[in-house]
Amino acid sequence: MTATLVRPAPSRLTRRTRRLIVVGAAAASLAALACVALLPPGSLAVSIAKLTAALGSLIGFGVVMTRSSVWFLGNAPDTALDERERTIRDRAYFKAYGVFAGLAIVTAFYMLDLGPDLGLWVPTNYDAWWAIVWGFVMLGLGLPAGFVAWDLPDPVPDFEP
Amino acid sequence: MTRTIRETFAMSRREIMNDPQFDWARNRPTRRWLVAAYVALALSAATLFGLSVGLRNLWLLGAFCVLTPGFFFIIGSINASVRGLTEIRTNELDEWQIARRDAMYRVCWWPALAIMTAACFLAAMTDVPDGLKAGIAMGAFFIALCLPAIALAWTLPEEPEA
Repeated sequence: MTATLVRPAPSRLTRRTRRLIVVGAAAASLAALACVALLPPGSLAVSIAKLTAALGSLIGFGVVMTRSSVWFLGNAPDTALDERERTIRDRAYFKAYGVFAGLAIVTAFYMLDLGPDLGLWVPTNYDAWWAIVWGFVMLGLGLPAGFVAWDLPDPVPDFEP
Repeated sequence: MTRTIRETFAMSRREIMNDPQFDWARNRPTRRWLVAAYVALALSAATLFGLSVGLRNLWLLGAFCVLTPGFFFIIGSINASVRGLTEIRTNELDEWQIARRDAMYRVCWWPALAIMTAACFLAAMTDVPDGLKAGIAMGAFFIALCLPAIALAWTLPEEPEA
């Protein structure tokens, strides 16, 4: 997909700002998923929460995928990147794989063993399962670019004579 | 050269993974046999697990548990066959190894995500029998978790002669 896109301008955001955005996006996603999973099914509140989460995800991904240099770096083909960029991108995938696999193991252990044994919340209805599966899909789509945003160094300031 | 278990555990991961005792696993044909064995074992284990859930049969669950040591042996051998690329810390690998490892994780990311997503959708969103769900989820989990290591074992070139 990114092969047909024009490369966006380099990010002017500092590393600190990028990291805050990544943390904010993760927190917003978790809050949306918690609303969808925990609110009583069929209520107006859960309908609004679902709609907001769906629209937020679609618009967010649409904006990021077309305008973000970080997304481009995380998903562009080898030919569009130089060696330094490929190194950063590949390292981001290595980290993302570890985090994703770890979360999958912890989630499976919680839902199959720990949650039922301790009487904690576990997904039982369709809405809760839907929220969890979609949460993992969204995480899978966004995690590598999130690590690229996290790891990229601060932009070099313009030279002023 | 033989070592006691105590001596082996005293070694660092890097030393263990580069130990000459695993030279037998480091040629490409053997690595590929190990990968084939892992896939066969994963599919067998997933089938047994699915059948044990579907038929509610504890003997099948016991058979699944009996296969567990086989996983330890094959995964350990695969890791040693690629000199621990996927489990040694980054600062203990050389530049070529880091580049190969990171590139392989990127290549494996989308296939692993597709496998896990398909399995999760099947398990959580469909009405197929529980045994089938359990078997497919377990098989997908085994394959996706070790995909970078088995892909490296399959694709790495032969090591140059010393």
